[in-house]
Formats: sequence, structure tokens, C-alpha cells
Amino acid sequence: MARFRANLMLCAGTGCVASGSLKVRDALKEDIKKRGLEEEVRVIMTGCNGYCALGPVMTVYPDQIFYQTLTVEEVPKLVEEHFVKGRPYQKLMFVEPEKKLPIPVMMDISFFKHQVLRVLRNKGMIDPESLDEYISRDGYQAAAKVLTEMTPEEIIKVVKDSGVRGRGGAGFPTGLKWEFASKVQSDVKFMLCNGDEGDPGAFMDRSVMEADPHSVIEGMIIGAKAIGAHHGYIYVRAEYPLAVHRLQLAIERCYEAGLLGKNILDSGFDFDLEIYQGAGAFVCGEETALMRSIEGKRGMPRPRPPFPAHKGLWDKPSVLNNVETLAQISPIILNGADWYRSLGTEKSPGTKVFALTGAVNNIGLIEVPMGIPLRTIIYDIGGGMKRGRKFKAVQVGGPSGGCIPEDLLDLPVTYEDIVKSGAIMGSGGMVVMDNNNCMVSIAKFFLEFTADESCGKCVPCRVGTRILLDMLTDITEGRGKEGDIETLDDLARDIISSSLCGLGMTAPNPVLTTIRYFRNEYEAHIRDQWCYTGICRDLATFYILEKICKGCGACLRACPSKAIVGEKKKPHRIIQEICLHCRSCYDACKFKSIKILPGPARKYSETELKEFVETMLEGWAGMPQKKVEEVVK
Amino acid sequence: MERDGGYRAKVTVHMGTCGIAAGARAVMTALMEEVAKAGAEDVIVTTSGCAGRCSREPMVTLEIINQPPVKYCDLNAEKIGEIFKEHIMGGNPVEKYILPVRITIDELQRIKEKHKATFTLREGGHRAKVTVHMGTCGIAAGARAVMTALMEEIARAGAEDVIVTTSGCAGLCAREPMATVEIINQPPIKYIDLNDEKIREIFKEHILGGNVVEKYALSVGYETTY
Repeated sequence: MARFRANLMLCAGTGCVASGSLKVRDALKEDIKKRGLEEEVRVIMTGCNGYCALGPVMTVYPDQIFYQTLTVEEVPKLVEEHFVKGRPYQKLMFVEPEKKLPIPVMMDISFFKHQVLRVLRNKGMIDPESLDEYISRDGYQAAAKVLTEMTPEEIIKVVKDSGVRGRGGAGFPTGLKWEFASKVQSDVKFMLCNGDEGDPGAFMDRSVMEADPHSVIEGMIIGAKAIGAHHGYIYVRAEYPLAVHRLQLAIERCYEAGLLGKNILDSGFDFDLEIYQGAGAFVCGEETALMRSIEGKRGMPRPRPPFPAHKGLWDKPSVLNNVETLAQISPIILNGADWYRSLGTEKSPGTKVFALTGAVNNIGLIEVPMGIPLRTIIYDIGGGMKRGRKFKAVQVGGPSGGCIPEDLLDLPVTYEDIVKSGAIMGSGGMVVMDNNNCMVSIAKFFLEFTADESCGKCVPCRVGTRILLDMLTDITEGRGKEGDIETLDDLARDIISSSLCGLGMTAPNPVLTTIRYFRNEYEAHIRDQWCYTGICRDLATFYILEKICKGCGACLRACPSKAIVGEKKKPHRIIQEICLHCRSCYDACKFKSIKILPGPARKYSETELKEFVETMLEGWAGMPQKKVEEVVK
Repeated sequence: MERDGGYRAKVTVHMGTCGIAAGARAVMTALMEEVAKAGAEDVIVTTSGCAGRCSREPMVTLEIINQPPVKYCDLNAEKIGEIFKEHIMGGNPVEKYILPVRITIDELQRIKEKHKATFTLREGGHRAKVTVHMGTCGIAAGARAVMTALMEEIARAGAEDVIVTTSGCAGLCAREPMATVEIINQPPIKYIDLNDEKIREIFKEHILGGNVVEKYALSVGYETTY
């Protein structure tokens, strides 16, 4: 076999492909060939590396040099420097934001350093389209072991002992799920995989399917043997074309190699697997709705019991596991339950993958041990807040989860602790917000999503989420009334207790948690008609404080409606009648001279406004509402 | 040769109805052209009927003397050209076009072994690391030839636990080409004034044999880079 001295692992996850990694690949290959290095240096396209914000990214082995934001233009220089002259190319290295020093080696970068890879063990290490490379990293060894040496009871015991819980969100113990299904007598059973990842901002499952499709297939073979199923489906949304493509390729290779189909690995065990593409309805991530969707019916949940372990797909016993859950089954089988329990906590062992997005410096896909505090995720891996802004809250669990405020940042990330905070673990979306976010608007944003995605089968969810959304819209547009907060709270609890499925049962979480932790913001919106952050246009008046304003003109240039007047180096002024309350000036001002006042203040005359601000200034440092209340009246 | 036997490689193009319909003729033509072009006198080409896997035609079977036969599938003129160059002439099977066979449990281990060198490179766990200094001075003095010779030796020996990397100028431009050999748990050795002969000797004696080739060594260092 030909030997290479360097392997260039270029990311071909959806993120990096979108930022141009395929063009970079062509340029790299061409340049390497031009310089006669094609027999020494090899380019390999991998799955998602995780550091999506810096894409296209590439890691060069054996030196582990990490390159970011590659461009076609930089390729010749990179090849010349690193592969001809042997000097890693500094210009494309990661630079630590504070120290301004380039960090060449991947594992020295804080984003990677704190991660522990189990589910994503093959990320960036293999070509996801190559079965041989998967096998080289112990692939299908676990399948071979369960098919030839283990009984279903033994498999279930290992999985149960490991304590692995469903990574789809609810955290139901996987071993228990398998045990229920294995005990049901039936000639036909189904092993299903849930790749219908629908949370806005979450892409864990997609990355696993793209980076390591065989790990999901192997997990399913093991599960099928455990429950005695001979048919399986992977349900993937059609919006994930690359995941579908790589899974399809992997399944075809498995059939050719005898790893799927009849008599797998000559063990006598048969398992057929196919992909079912979903149309992208959020509710189809719910197990009973997903099964109906595969049956070709409209994706709607049904009451449970009967549980899918007894009557699932086509009324046959079925097990549905999440992509991330299945991807970690084979290492559990190979290394044992104790190995799995060596990370995480007693009740939440192992690791969890999160999609970290929002107002942090490092955006991407991360895998961390359970029990790690949120603070470590946000400040060490995430690299702290963007532009030095102040942390306000983190939305964990997507639209079904909730906002966790700053004083709970030391909360360990486990299923139990997250639930105590009012959020849920969910599938692993993590959206970080800074103090420029209005929490009422955030709740409204998520409700817009869930109200839209409600399938309409049960009244509490269909009507309830709509009423919640209408009330939140009223509050953000200045039509809130005294007592709204209590009504919201009451209604949210009713929806949770009476909805049919997980969608309705979790949809009010963003409302409940924002009320719980940011009640004062709701109160200011309703009583004072005041959105501190200026996000709700109707509830904000922008005002330039004369004594801070330097007259630099930054706001004047930023204003789209020419509502700001003033001479250079003299304090500027906003003409309230023209102002659109778009907040552009607020973001443009470097001296924080622009203040956001309650909505009604915009109707004041210039002198009234000045007087109002002066009265208000006294209370500015602390909680200003009381003062404002007096003045507004 | 065709009449006497004594060939080194034999290619059988499967020309059943299925094969011809799928384009076996074009494959045959392209192959004959390649053979003629390369003047490969020890390669013979023959034909057979259907090989039984009609859906994967056009197919050929390649038999190199003393090696198990390999079946290639879904071919076209371009692919057979690549196979001719890589496998028939170069000795490296073109994995991506090989007709898949069922994998057995033993096979899993064999595949893993086959890729061991690649994953030593990516995962670490090497026994020896050779750094070839490729500054402008090094390249001008012939570092490229040293590198090529070294890579050849490693491939020939099938040394899976040796990795090669490069660096810029080592600061001693007058004694280039230079290379640093680091064997795990031993101090690194810098070799100077190299050429392809010398690096081959160093590979055999030091990297494989464990004996420092003192006549080419500059000094014994203390700073390892692994």
C-alpha cells in the first residue's frame, strides 16, 4: 500500500461545505499535484470537525496542526509553506482572542481541549464514506461480538448496567427500553433510529450521521439483535441531504460487505435496514408520530399506552433510539459498562453532545462529560461572550427547553439538574444570550415555532400555544395588562399537564422559565411599557445623554431614517417623531451615551424628556422601575 | 510471450452479453491502448463470458503471478487506465473499484491491520519520528531526494510505526540536507550532509536496527518534539 507522510483531514460537514471546503479540496489537490507531492501528502474529506464557526477547517496529521477559514487563494501559499518548506503556515492558524498568539496544535486550543469524544470518536479522523476506515477504528468489532458471542439478555444487561439514557431529550434508559421490547413475543419487530432533529439551532445528530454513519448502523445491528428485530428504518429529515447521502452510501457498502442483509458476518443473524426521509415536521420527532409517518400516514402522535415496545410501527413491537444514543452503543459493548460509567454522574453517566451557538466566541459542536458545569462550557469551550458583552441566559433544550440565568451557571449538566432549573436537556441545543436579548421576545420566538409546529390533534397544544403566543405578542407590543403574567403561568401549566405528546408538554417551558428568572422584565413590559433592551420597538425610546455624547457621528451614520441631528464634536439629538426605534444607533455608539427609556417617553416634549431623564438617572444604577413608574404617571 | 506463457500479469475482460451491453468493449480498447503505450510485454489480456454479476459489468479479473486474483467492477475506459497504472504497473490495488466481497470476522482484523500505518499517523502511537529539514537551504542542498528515498524505504519495509514530518531550516545551512531521528524514549539524533544513500543506511541501521549511524551524526540532542 502506498504510504503518505501527511494526512490532511479537511472538514466536509454541512457547515464547512457551505463555507467552501469542496473548492478548497480541489485547489489543494491541484496544488499538491502541481508540486509533485501527490504520493506523499493525501487530502481526506471528513465529517464535521465541530468548530463550524471557523470553517472550512483542516487538521494536518501527524503534527495535528489545525488550520481555519481556508480559502482557495491561500492554498498555494499553505502548500508551499507547510508541505514543501515544512513550516506550518501561521496565517491560517487559530488565534486566541485575548493573547493574539497563534496556536498551531489542535489539542492546545481550548475549544478542543476540554472535550471528551465518545460519540464523536471518529470525527475528523476518518473518511465517512469509507467502510475500511471505520473498521480500522474498531468498527463492527462490537457487532461481531454480539452476533457471535452474546445472547440478547447479555447485551441488554451491559447496556442497562452502563446506565446510558436516551439522548433524544427525555433521557429514558436505553437498556430498559430494549428489555421491554425483547420480552414481547412477536414474529415481526422493528429497530428504528430517530434522525428527525428539528430543534432550531441543533445539529448534533446531523453531524454524527454525516461524520460517522457506520456508528449508527452498528448501533442498530446491536439493538436489533438485542430485541430480536430483523427490519429497521432510519428516519431522517429530507433537509439533511448530506446525511441521507452518506447513510445511503454506508448502507449500500454494508449490504455489499455482508454487514447488513442475510447472515451478517456469517453469524446467521439477518437485519435489513433502510432510510425513510421525513418531510421535516417537528412533531415527527415524537415516537408515535414518527411511526405513523413511516406508515405513510399524516405524522400525528397517539395516546400511550400502548407503548411502542408493545405496539409500535404497524402495530408491531418497536424500539426507537436517537442517533446519538445508537452511536455510543458499540464502544459500550467493547469496553463494558464500567468504562462508560467512568465519566458523568451516577444517574447521568457518559458524555453528551451539544450544539453551542449564540453570543459566545466559539460556535460549534462539542462533546463533554455529563456533570460539567454550564460555566465551563460557555467560558472555557465557548471562549466567553462575544465582544465582551455580559452573559444573560442560556437556552438549553431548544424550543422545548428553558432559559437558565447567570446565577445558575454552576449547575452541573445532567438530566436531573437541568430539569430542576425548569429547562430540559432536550436533544442538546444550547443557545447563549447576552444582555442585548429581551427575554419576553425570546419566549415569543420559541412559542412562534412550537405554535406553528403543533400538529393540531389535541386542543391544549393547538389552542393553548396559540393563546400563549398571542398574549406574548400583546405584551411585546404594549398591550399587556395587569394579571397577564399569572394567566400565562396558569395556562402554561395547564398545557403541560393536558397535552397529548412531548411537543405540547414542553412547549410552554420557555415561557415558564423566563417568567421564573426574568419576571421583572415581564413587569417592566406590562406596567412601564418598557423593554430595557430596546428589542420591542413599541416599548423603547432612544435618547442621547448629552454629557456622555462625544459628537463622533457614529449614530448619525448608522441611523437609517436620518432621525439624528447634531454637529461634529457636539452632543447629538434624536428627533423622536422620525425615530423608527430600530436600535441601530444604540449598537453603533461606542460611549454608551444612548439610553433606552420606556416607550411612552417618546411622546414627551424635549424639555419634559430631559427632566424625565434627570429624575430617572438617580435610580439608574439600581432597579429603576419604581422611579420610572412615578415619572410616567 | 502470449504463446509461451511466462507472463507477469493477466487481465480477463468479461465479455458476456451483459458486459458488452454495459461497455466492456470500450474497456478492452482502452486497456489494449494502455498496454501498447506502456510497452508492457509481460501483461496479457484475454476475455471470458459473463462472470455472473451482470449488474456490476463491465468487469475484469486481474491476476498477477503469485497474488490472489482481484475482480474490478463498474468499469469504464478511465477507470481501467487508472487500474493499469496503479495496480498492474504500480502494484497497488485500486480499492475503490474492487468488486466488494463479504467481510468475515477475521477480515475485520485484517482490514484494521492493513490501515495501521495510516492510523498511526493520525492517532499518534508511533515508535519513531523522522523530521526532514526542508528550509530553502535544505531543499537547495537536496532534501527532496532524501525525503523521497526515506518514503520509499518506509513503504518497502512496511514500517507502520514510523512517521515522517518536515520542518523549516534547522539553522545549520552549511550542513544540509539534515534530518532528525527521534525514537521514543531516546534522545533525538541530528544527521547532516545527507543524500539518498545515507538516509537509506540510517533507516536500516538506526530506525529499524536501533544503532545510531555515528559517521553521519552531528550531535545527540535533548529536546524531543513528540
